[in-house]
Amino acid sequence: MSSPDLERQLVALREGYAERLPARAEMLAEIAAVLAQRWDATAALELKRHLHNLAGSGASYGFPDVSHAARAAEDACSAALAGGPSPPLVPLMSALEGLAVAVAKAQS
Amino acid sequence: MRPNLTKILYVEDEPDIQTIAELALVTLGGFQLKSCASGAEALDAVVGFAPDLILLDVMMPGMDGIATLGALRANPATADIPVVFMTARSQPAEIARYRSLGALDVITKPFDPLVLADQVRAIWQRAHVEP
Repeated sequence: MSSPDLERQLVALREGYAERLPARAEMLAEIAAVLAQRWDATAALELKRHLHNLAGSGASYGFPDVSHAARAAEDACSAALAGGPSPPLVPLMSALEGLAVAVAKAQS
Repeated sequence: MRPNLTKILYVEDEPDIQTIAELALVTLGGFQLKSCASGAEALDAVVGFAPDLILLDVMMPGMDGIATLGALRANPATADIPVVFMTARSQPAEIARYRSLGALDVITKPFDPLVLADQVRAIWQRAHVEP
């Protein structure tokens, strides 16, 4: 494959990934809103899985800030899951805000 | 004589990661690749595909990478196929644990798609250094 072809494929993949990011961020915000109202370990595990996937993919698509922010939020989610039946959620919500900033930056 | 690395079975549940890895390994790396989205799917596919190497995500819903490796090792037909874990968790203690379980090596996610194929080849070559 020629380099321009490869470059085109990479750019197309990157653009597609970036286009899907806001919907993913919205889904994460919806789960976070549920958790803010009432802690639910099942929902938190789902949130953690989505964060893990974002962390593992962002930088591969050229968005290292998304990976870093998602990793921080995943760690905060893990800490909340280990924090008993009613864990403090401020660190997790703060980390999710950081992720939202990184996602917005990826759109620009 | 060092065996050739041609066929790779790639196991990853996240579609975005799978897509960029396929570009890296097939288009850039020239490997013959079969992708699976779960450990169970990989166990179904592995004998028929007969890969030289398996790239295995660690954290997957259902059967995770460690359980999948255990199942591969328990089957005489697949027990000797080299497995490289791909994980976003790559602290030294975790890497040591994965190696103790029988993984050939560990590749950290997120990976750079422009160098992933070279990383895989380097692992393969290190594992097949002639004395």
